[in-house]
Amino acid sequence: MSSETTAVLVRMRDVGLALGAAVPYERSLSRIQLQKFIYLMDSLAIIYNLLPPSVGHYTFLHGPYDPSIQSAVDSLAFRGLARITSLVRRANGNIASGYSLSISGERWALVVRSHPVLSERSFVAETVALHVNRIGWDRLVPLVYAEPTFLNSRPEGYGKRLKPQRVSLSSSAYLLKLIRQALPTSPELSTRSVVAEYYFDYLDRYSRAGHPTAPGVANE
Amino acid sequence: MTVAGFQPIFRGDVELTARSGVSVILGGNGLGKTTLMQALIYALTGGVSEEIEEDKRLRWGHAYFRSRLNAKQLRAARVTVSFSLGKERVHVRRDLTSSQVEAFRSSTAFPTWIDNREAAERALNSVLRDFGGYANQEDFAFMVHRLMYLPESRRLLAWDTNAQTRILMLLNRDLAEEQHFRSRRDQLKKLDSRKRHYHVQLEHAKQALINILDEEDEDFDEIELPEKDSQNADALRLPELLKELAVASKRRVDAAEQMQSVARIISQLANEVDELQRAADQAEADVVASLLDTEERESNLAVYKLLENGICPCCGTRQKELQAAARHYQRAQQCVLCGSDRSETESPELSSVRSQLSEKTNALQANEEAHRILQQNFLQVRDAEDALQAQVNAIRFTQPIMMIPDTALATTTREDLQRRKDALEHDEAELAIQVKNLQAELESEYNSFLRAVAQRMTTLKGSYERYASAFLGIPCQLVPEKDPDRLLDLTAFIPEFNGAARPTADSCSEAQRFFLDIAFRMAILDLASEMSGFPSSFICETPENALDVSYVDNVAKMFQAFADRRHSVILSANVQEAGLASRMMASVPNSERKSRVVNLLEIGQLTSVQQGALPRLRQLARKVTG
Repeated sequence: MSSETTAVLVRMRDVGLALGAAVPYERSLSRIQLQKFIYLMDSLAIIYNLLPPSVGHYTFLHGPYDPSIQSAVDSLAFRGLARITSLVRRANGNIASGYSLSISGERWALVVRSHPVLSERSFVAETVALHVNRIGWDRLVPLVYAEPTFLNSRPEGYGKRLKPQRVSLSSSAYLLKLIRQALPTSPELSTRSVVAEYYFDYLDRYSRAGHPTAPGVANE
Repeated sequence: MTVAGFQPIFRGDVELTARSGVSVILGGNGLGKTTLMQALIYALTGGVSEEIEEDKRLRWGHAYFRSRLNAKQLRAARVTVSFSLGKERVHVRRDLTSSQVEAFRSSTAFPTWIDNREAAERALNSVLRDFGGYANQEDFAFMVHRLMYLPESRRLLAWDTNAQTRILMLLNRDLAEEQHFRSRRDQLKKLDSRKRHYHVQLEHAKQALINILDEEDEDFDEIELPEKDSQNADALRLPELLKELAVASKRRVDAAEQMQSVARIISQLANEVDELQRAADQAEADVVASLLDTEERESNLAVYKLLENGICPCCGTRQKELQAAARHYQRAQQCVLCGSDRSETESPELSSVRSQLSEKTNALQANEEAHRILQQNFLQVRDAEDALQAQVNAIRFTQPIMMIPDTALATTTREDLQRRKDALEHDEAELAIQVKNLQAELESEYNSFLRAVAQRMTTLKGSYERYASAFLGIPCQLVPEKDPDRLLDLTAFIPEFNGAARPTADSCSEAQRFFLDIAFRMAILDLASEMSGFPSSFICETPENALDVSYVDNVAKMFQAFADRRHSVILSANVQEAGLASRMMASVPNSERKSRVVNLLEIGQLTSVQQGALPRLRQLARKVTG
């Protein structure tokens, strides 16, 4: 299997999980939101002892971008597993579209979530969806722009590979580690969910505190 | 090469033509084999200068030949050599009145002979730079003398760390500035030497001071200079500050070294994590692909319709050829539309990969955390050093420049001696800081070079293994080993066979050290050739002198393997029974042998002993010349 095929198949898993996690909230995700949602999954994965794909997002025009995600969602749409909604071609030639799972896609996502090899990652997607829904889906892009790995890499320009799981390079991993260390160990607390809550609160507060994000950052 | 006017060594002019493959200079004792080879090297480089050879005894130039030739013919003696430097054909002529080039031309850059010495030297330099990539003649001469030419003096490269470093840096000019690195090493040596000189003087001053104190029966510690003004008070603080600065500087260098060491571990672990993550991705991708296939089958979706009914997923019409192709791809476990491979490699066991991945990720994160802490520590240490340096600078700025003469220790007063001691302590401490800083910079630069050149070293090691194992008849490889120097640790590349690394030449027999050295040189020439795209040359004097007859075949195989890569090998050999020369020439057709062999029995001055044995010598020579 070529590395490109592997990358797209792995992202088909993530797209299925991301769109599946958005179903309970009756949300469809735009192209850019999908990129951001999966980037947050990658950043948070470390607390579930999972790592993002070996080749993932890099810095680009509208924040972190991984071309395999778009290929994956296109492939799912071609197979009838994802549904394209509100397809608009803009005056500048860009295409805006929303994605959600079709009926068969929802069934497939359920199979993916319940597969023993992939189920752990579905918790990551559900956690991201839970907190994005709590904070507001319109805050998805600003949340990513507040993510430390991206924040530190942005000044280096486009095309820089992002590795949010690396402690010394940025990072979300370091922030998550600090949060985990600061928490009391208590059997009553589900440590992961509390760490995730603090993490998203941090991103939210940072993005609202008047720190620069990017000119013209907006949800599409 | 053409050698003219070398009487009485040769009876007339001598011509040597070497092309790809093996060429032989065949002779007996005193017939001029070494002279002919040295003439070739002389024409190429003008001899061995001090920039090339540290050992005075091994230097030579135009004067070397003069005492051996007829005085009347000295002015007529000349050596002309033509050789290829990349795509350029270069012609150099030297006489024996000076080591400078007498005349020069080259195929495209200087197509007509330049016979003004200075202009010829400039032209040669320019061609070496433009077509060979050498910064100057000195670099070229170093490569010829220490890499391409192995003289009878057996100046080995295999265990000479400095020469290895210089050659590898010259060869990898895109990754290192050899001249800059070498000049800074020289600077380091000079600084260290000055520091030692100051230390000796300081000990003398201390002793002189103790002597005076003994005479005055006073306690050394009670001596204090009168504080005339604030400048004096500052001056008294300076030695103590410099000591503190030296300590702070050492702490900074130590902290930087610790950081580098952890960074190396992180880099290695990160590579391992990436590798494992790729394996995990592949295993998960297989699972996803299988779930997609199941979904296709169960949901009667577009691809399933294509496979079962031949309906095109794009236009919805029935297409038999498309269906046949899709089924073919399906059987081959490829994508049913484009045929890209989906199961080329077997997926690794995911649970095992994940377990390893978790272990490595934890180790990586622990090291990254350690690095972060070390980095903070480094910044604190550096700030402390900067603060001390600022204090020292401030004091120096206000101090008048004071020169203390080296002489008249015995006649100085106690106060003078105390001042002198303080000044020397200050200078020694300052030099110690400079030495330490320069050491750290050079080590960092050198280690970066080694990391950058690692991939090319793999090629070099492959060639070495081939040549060295061909000679020894058992596996032999090249391994890196730190060569601790008092001032700078460099890495030497040494042989390893029979399970033991050979850190010194003494750990090998005479033949092993000589032929492993040849293997090392030929491996470097292979690498050079691979990088430049042009074949190279190796010139070796009487290799069989160190050889017993059982190894002749192995050595012949080793040289032949090198020659088979389009390189040229020039060997000198004595006329003897079952020698290397006849073994090397055995596979060369008779018609070609004459042009590949210079037979000094025919052109050299034979002694009476050799005259007596001439029929026998000729009979043996014919086995080489055909």
